Amino acid sequence: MMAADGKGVWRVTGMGTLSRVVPTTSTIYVIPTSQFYNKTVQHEQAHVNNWILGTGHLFGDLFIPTDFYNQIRNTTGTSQADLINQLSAALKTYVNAQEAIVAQREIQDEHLAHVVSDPIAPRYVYQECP
Amino acid sequence: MNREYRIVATVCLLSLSLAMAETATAQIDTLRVAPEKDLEDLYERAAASQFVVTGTVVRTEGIGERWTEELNQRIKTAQDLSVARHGTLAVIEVEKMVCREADFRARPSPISEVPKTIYIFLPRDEPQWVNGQLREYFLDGQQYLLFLVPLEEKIRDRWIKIYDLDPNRSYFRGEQHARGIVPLKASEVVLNEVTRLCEAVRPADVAQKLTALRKLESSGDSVLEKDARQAEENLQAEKPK
Repeated sequence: MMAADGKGVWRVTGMGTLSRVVPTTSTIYVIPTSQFYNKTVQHEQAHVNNWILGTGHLFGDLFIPTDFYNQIRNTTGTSQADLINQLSAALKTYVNAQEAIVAQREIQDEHLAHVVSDPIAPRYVYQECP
Repeated sequence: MNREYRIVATVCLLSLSLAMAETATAQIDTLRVAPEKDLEDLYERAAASQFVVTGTVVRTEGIGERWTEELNQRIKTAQDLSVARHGTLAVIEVEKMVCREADFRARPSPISEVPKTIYIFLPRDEPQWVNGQLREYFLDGQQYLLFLVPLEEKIRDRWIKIYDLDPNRSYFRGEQHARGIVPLKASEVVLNEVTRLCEAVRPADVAQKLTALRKLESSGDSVLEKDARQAEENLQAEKPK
């Protein structure tokens, strides 16, 4: 949220509706009657779980609204448009930096999903986890 | 009275509605290319590459969609930041040139200068598998042997339009995607074998290339024997009569 103060300086006044929302389920295109359905569901669910907020979850420390808010809370603008522009630029920088971290963890993300799904029968001919 | 402007920005993370067509395939193969696969088809892979180089990933950058008014409106309408597309740019400093496409040609062909820095962009919404090949992945600070092909021009233009990519840079992909990105830590032997093959075809003179390749064929190196023969056959076929 933002507002102009008594001197006409535009300031950030609160977080508004800024929030972290993650999906809780995945979309599975394997037909439910497939012998691989459950294996697939468990694999994708492991990916979803990695996004749960907090320690113990691979991406649980990323895209934290308060982190971003703390970065921009003291930003001021000469006009509403000026402040919006500055916040947009800051947001872009923040999201790009978080995305770079996500990219660095993608291999681990996939590995963790395989740790869950590979032991589930039927096993594939080739698996990441023996 | 204060006029308040509400920033509607719901940080909805990345679409995890994963396409099964991609992930099921991902489980059928191993994630990393098996070392024995790294040693296969060395000639084909090197000859199909514009450059084969060694390089280190100096950084990976998050690259967002170009912030246009249209994107602004899309975010506001959806109240969801994840409608803005993102990708990862791997920035790789080249350490050594191992091969150039021109080395494998019998007829003189233009020699492209090897860039000092290689840029490989991977959009997040691209499937894990591209044209049947596991796509590239990188770790910061890791050294790789890279079989590189230029990013297809049509795709390059599209990505530059969508993403905040520098249009003045040359963008590459791995030849056969992940197969073209060989971590050197685990596969030093691949570098040694490719280097031997590339040194054989390095001379500008075709006769010298053929002599060196024949030496490789009879060197007892089981990996390079077939590759050297294939390189020789293709050079012979291409050689001016």
